[in-house]
Amino acid sequence: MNAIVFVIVAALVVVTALAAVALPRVRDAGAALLATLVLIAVLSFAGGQYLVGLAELAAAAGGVAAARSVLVLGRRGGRPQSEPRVPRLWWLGAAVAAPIGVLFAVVLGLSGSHLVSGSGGPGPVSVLGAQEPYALVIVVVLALAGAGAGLLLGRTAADEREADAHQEARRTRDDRMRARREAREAARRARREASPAGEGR
Amino acid sequence: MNAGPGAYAVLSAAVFAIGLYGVITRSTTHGVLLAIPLLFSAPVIALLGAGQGGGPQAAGGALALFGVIAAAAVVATGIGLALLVRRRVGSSDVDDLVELEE
Repeated sequence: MNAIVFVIVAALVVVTALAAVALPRVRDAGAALLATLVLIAVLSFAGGQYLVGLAELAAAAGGVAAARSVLVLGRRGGRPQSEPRVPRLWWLGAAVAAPIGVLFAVVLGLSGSHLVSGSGGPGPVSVLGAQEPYALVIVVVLALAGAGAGLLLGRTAADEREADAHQEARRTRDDRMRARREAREAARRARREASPAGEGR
Repeated sequence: MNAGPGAYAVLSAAVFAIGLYGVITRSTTHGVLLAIPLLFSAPVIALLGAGQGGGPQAAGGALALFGVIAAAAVVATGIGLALLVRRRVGSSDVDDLVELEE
């Protein structure tokens, strides 16, 4: 990949990743994370790893669907609250993350060119699909297990549906009683205004 | 001039550090869930760098694919858990959950 293009995409990845952990509103932070994943997919495509790029895009699309379920459909328990603008433990996060980041950057950056050797050999599709078919099965099982576990854990259980129905019935009953009370009061006022005593008052 | 594995590794380190910062500092479950994919993306970026060139290192792409799928599975399970906790406990604050446990 061209070094200049890489630097531009890398800078965008860092900026969007920072936004994903710094923006207080969940919706904004989620959008920033989505942008990060899409940019990593762009890196994958540019590096010739099309399968990885497609998987990144699929994961991002799945993330959007899940976020929609949390923000729109998961009404029970209220909307997700925003984060504080300045996190309470920002100093701890910075103290832990910065040295580890610098350590990784120095060690991997210096030895990065020595990590890879040789030429010719299997591509990702052949490794996953042709040479080691069980690996592809593991990937599919992993994806299905993750989605299944998420759906199983996040589903609305029977007791919650029952509680929701009770709450809805109570709300309807309260609304009806309030409307009836207001109608009664309005009728009483009208009668009082129509009567001679009311007129004298 | 092309970007080598070293450049990918540095970007990977930066993304990992940012994700780690997010996991430590975010106070809500969905905030932490938003930072976890960054932690998973870091090795994926490093593996993409290692997978450049079409050599035996192309297996790096296969490992990266595993990383992406694993991240998606973890986040799907995490979102399910976060939804469950928010509905049952009525809060998504991580500190509240710790107090609840005590």
